[in-house]
Amino acid sequence: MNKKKYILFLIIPMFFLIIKLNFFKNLYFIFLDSFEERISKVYGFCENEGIGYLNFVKRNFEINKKIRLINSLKRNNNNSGNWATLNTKFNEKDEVGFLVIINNNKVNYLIDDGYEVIHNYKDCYLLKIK
Amino acid sequence: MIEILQIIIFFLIFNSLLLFPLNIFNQDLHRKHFNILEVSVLNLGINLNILLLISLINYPFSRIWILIGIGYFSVLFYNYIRKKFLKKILKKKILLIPLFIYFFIFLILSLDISNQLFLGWDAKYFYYIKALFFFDDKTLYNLKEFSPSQWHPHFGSYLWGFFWSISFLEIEYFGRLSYLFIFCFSIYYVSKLNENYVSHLFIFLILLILFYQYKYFSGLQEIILFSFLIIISKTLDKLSLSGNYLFLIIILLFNNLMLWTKSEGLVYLFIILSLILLIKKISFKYKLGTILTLILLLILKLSIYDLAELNNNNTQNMFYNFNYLLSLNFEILFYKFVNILIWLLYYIASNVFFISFIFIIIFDYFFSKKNVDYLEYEKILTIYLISVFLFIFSAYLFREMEIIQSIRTTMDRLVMSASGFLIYPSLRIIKKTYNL
Repeated sequence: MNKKKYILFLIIPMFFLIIKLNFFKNLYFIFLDSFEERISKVYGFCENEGIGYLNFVKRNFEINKKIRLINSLKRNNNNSGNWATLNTKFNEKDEVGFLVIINNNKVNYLIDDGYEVIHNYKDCYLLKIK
Repeated sequence: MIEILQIIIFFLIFNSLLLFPLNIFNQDLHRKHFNILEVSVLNLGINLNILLLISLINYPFSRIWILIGIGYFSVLFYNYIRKKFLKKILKKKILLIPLFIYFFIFLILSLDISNQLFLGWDAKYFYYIKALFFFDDKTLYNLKEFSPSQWHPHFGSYLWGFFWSISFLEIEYFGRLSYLFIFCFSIYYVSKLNENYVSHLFIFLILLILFYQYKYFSGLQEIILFSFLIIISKTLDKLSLSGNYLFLIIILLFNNLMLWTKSEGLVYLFIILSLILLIKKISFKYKLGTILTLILLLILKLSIYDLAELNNNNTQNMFYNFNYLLSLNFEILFYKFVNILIWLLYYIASNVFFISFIFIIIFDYFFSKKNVDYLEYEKILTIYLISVFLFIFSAYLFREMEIIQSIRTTMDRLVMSASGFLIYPSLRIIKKTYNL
């Protein structure tokens, strides 16, 4: 087999892998979107699990107590989003100091005097428990 | 752009784990029928075990990384730059072409991981959180603060947290690229059937196309076991053919890593031990040494986890306990057995490597000639398969949990990790049949 045939021999499976794994699309998005934007695409910003919004508030506000996340998804064992609220500075037994509510129009969580609204975007809220 | 740069840097960091402490061009090792790839495997095993040892120290990585970095570069410098090996590598085009293709494949797969990003269930509730502890500069001895830590060993999460923390972007998925690297390298290692690098790369690409799915890299640990089993499978064959004890060291190193990666690692430890005992070219003295080493490693693990208050006796008792065993009757066992059998057949049929292996072995049984070496390897394979099936059946028969839910949430991953061992025998039979 000559050199060209050898190269062809390798190019075909490589080409297949490139197509199968959307190489160019992935390359495009890694240039275009930041990591946070890509996470928001996967888990939702102010929708679905709401991990995008949760990360946003963790980055931009001083969160000195545990956070609890409430989203509007019909609960199954894989969509609470609680895994993303964990902060190793706090113990499991520490009390929750902040609430993040995703899509309160569906959740209908009662935001009364016991809470201070620190930030809201559409119907997503960061609340501090007084 | 900066993420691409970080991926390239990580590719270089991961590959440097293959280059030291032993020089891959060491002629003494080559004379012992130990080629470049096999020295790299030994280096990887040593380095991962060093990382494991660091993970056991109650001292955050950030305080010792300068020391480790200096040591690491000194060894690299001594091994390659001082002895002008770098020039030799650059001169050898035959090494550069596979390296470039290998890098390009790593980049394609890394980009897939960087875009899909979702985490598997176990990853969200166990491994990610433990990795976060290591990322936040905590140690194994802090893991008790997170009660579900007791469920699983820590090494996979440590790798995740360690590489996450050394990425200058501090993005979570860079930690998981270490799993991708171990996977790619194990596939690359097993793909080499002869000295022709085109056929080597072709098999490497085909295996990746057949197997790669993002879900295996969603933070789950089975892919690490799968990769280690690929390495062990090929090394066992090398050991049974040559009797070279360096291969035994490789097997022990990766066996130890499995023990600290997943609870099933303990089962594989005993399976691999029984396979080693079958090999005729290993003397009784070395077999005894292997048994003692593995027992010592097991005691070490139990002691350290006891010290770190991570002993999982209570959590395991939830699913496996004596009272439940006493309550089992024939009717329940039969019902469970039938379900396990049906689902096991289904998952085997869905696993590309398992099903291919079965077809290949049937073909081989009827149509090919066998020599003595081959018969010994066939015995190793038979014992492996029987042990794995026994393990799967007993794990579900004696587990106190609704059987269908139990099977549907875990069996596919058990079959997947076990299938890693079968890739090499399949390729070996193909090589023998077609004289590759």
